[in-house]
Amino acid sequence: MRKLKEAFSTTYKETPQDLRLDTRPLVKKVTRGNVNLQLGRFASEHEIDERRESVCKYKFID
Amino acid sequence: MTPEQLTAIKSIVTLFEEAEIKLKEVEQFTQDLSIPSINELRYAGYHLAKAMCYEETDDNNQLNCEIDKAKGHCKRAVYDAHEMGIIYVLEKIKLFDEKYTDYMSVVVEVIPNYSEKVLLKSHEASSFIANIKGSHRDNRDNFYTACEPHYISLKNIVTQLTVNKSTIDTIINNNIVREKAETKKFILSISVVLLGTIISVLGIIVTLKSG
Repeated sequence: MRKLKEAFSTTYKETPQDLRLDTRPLVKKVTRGNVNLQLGRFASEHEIDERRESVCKYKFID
Repeated sequence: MTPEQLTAIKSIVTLFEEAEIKLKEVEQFTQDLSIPSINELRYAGYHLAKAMCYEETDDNNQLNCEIDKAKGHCKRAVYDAHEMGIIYVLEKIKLFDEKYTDYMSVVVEVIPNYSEKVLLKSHEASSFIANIKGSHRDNRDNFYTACEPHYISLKNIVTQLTVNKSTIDTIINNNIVREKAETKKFILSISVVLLGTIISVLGIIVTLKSG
């Protein structure tokens, strides 16, 4: 059934790129200081804890 | 301040520089700033400043204590920076693994050592950071050198995955196009057979009725 669905679906698509990366040169041009901070790209201890927990739970090997 | 203490303070400066370099390197790679790592460097600076205020007549133990604390914070800053890098890279590998879970044969075709190199190394690194978080969070400065090899090896793995991604996507797309064509061909042949059968049955019915 899956093959049947795929046969009439659109072709395999890649995940869209992170659009925020495109804004970096603009942010760098119009602001001063750390670009990552300007873009709000920083991680607190709590956020890092959550991200660590998420990746550590993932079963890379069975 | 004794010559030993002066040497110790110089080593803190070296550690501080190392931490600063690692922090910037990981920040540029992950495009994300690790606040815990910056905090550790802030504490290191505070203890270093306190250490510089002690005079020769003051208690040597307190000065040594400040030096040790500053060192510990610098090492924890290095650990935190690398840990942030490891988490980022593991997230990338996890996304890759989830995305291509149905196409593992293609992945293995392009990256033959995928299980041993990518998944095993990822498992080792995730176990390492999970263990430190679970049992050694407060003395993670003791593991600041052990963290870097995991980060470097996973960073290389992600580069390898990124390089091979387009090849994998091309093979998957080609496979899908081929499978679609085969499925369409199969459906078409079944339809022709069915149509032929229906026409034959109708023909027989018409012949029988007219006869």
